[in-house]
Amino acid sequence: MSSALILFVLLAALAVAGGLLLVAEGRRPVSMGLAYLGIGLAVSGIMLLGGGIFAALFQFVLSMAAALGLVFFGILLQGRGEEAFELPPPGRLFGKVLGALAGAGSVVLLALVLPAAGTGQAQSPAASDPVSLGVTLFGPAGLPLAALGLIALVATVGSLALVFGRGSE
Amino acid sequence: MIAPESLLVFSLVLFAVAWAAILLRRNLLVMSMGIQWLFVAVAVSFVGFARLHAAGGEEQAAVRGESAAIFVLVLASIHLATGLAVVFAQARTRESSNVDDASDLRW
Repeated sequence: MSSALILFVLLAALAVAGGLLLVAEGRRPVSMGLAYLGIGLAVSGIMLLGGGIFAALFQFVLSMAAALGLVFFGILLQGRGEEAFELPPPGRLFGKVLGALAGAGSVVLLALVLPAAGTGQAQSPAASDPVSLGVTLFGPAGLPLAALGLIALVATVGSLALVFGRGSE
Repeated sequence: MIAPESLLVFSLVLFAVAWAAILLRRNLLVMSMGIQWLFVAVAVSFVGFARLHAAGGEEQAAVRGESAAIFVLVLASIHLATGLAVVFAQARTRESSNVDDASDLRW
């Protein structure tokens, strides 16, 4: 097994197990934000291993922004930065950890039984080089990119209006 | 580098986890995070298919695949901004972030 495959399996297991635990036990926005940061960074590492360098960079920035937003949202709603250190009952916690490990183990098994999973195979080229990506994004995809930027601006203004607008009367 | 098929399998598993988060949880925040993961899973699959095309010698298709992944991630960030604002407005007006409490349109 190559080191890239081992790293991929670890990151994929971390992301899937973290996601399953978040679904089962996510209760506080601050801890959910921090868990989302870890999952997002794992996915960013997987994209980097897959050759999508710019997609990995975008995912890195997105996960940072999402985690910050969730943490600030949690602090804003609850009015405090600390959270109670309560653990669920041992049996329930064990069941959830076991389920998350089972999910992570299934990812490991799938990655190991896949044919041509990176062992002894010549390295395939990266997904794209920066020059081609830039030419595509600002050439044929220039209009959709500009439209997406406009949508992002409208979404930002709308979000601010929702947050700072008057509440229901 | 890893095989493109591994990326596609991971994308499928992440999509399933995100779908479970949306269907099983009633909290708006967790549902919003599930939708985020849907976008991320699709972006990972685009990167996987771009690698497949690059390995087959179709460089232009690989570039378009990664461009599509970037577009999907930008859409995810837009959803993040609006989704958090909606959740905040809901929590402020109804003192609850449960999706079942937003039932004004029910007949």
